[in-house]
Amino acid sequence: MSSGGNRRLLTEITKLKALSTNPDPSSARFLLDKSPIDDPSGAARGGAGNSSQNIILGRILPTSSIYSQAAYQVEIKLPPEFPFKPPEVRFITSIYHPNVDDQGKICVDLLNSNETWKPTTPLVDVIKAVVELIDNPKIDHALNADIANEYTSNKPEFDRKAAAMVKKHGLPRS
Amino acid sequence: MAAGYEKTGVAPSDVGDTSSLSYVIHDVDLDRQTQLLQNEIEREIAASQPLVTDKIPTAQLQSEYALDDKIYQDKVAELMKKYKYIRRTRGDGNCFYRAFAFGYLEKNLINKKELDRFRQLTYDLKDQLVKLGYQDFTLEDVRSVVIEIIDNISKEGTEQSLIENFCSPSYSNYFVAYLRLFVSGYLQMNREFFENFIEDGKSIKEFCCTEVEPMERESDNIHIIALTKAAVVPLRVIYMDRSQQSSLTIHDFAGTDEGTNENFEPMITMLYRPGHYDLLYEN
Repeated sequence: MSSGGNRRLLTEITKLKALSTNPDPSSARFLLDKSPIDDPSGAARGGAGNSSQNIILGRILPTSSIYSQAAYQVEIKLPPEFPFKPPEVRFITSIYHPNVDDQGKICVDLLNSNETWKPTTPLVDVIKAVVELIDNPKIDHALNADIANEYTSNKPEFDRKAAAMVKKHGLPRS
Repeated sequence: MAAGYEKTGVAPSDVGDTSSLSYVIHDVDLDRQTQLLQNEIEREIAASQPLVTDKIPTAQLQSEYALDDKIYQDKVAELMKKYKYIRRTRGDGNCFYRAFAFGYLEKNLINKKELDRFRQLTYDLKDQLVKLGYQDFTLEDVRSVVIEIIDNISKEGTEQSLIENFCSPSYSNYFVAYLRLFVSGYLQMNREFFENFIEDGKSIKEFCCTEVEPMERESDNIHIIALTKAAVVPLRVIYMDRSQQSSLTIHDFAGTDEGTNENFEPMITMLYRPGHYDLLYEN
């Protein structure tokens, strides 16, 4: 990131914070837990070696029936080449979902650098895409065949397991 | 377990008839490995190829082709008659934009009036894009670096300052990204005309999102036309490929609606070989 990149980062974080209070019901809900600007040693001073400089943690608040019962923490990691390479997003909170694997990895088109990541994509769009995926699973791009199978052929069982995971691992929504 | 499944096809299950179930099971680890491999390739290219080289005699192109490759050797000989020097650009999918930016700035190092004109276009583009629905602050992020580069070069006016300002990846990529936005803006603002040239039924917006704005997406005629018109910069591209004719194909891009004639004087000249653009110099 250039020196102006810190200005961008500040604005990105401001906009992510604003997601928590956005009254628009169609906006993605997100609670920022930790960002580089919290770090008193100063992301603003740069320093490529400071790994806390490029990690943002926050909870997404899906709205679909099962997942709306909790919040799920995700980690957004900005690579050194940001914004020319996309951020890496993974789930810290365990979640039972066809598009999230057991390591918390997900596959979102927007973050695929070959396809649609652009240097001007704001991080709120990344969050929106993740929430959208959670609320609208893409079975034909599932990461786990068993879960995909179960979702399609035994939805009540899927719902039961998903809800159990939500109860066990889900975080507060405020 | 998931690794045992075919990438496409039926996912087995313990009970029941699965013939109606077929998924493309998305292997995110494969995605990740592919991405790591691509990153590795990019690193190797970056290590072995500078963003823009010094001026090299075009005679050196002779050694890039087999001595008995008559088609190419003839074409190189033809090229050398008029163009004595070449600057290579890194082969990373951004080469057209990088060559354009470097060639433009180099040509106008001491032409303050021209740099001011371009600076104004650069400045104005942001608001045009915001009107098209883009986010102000991410555009500002990119624009501010480009303006900084132009201002630095305007002040210094030397090839050395150009190389310092432009050839560091952190600066250079911003310029490339912004030229992509120039193309995108121009295509969208002239969508009726350009829609006819988009293959596979994509809308202009989709085309811009997938073939223009993401970094490393390669450039075609449509990108060249849009950029030369958006920036109003005359460009000549010399095509060198394996086609049988011994003479080189020349494409002139006027940058205006007037078109070109035999008095066409390009501001920038590039060499195009399939998949790659370099800069050419008469002396």
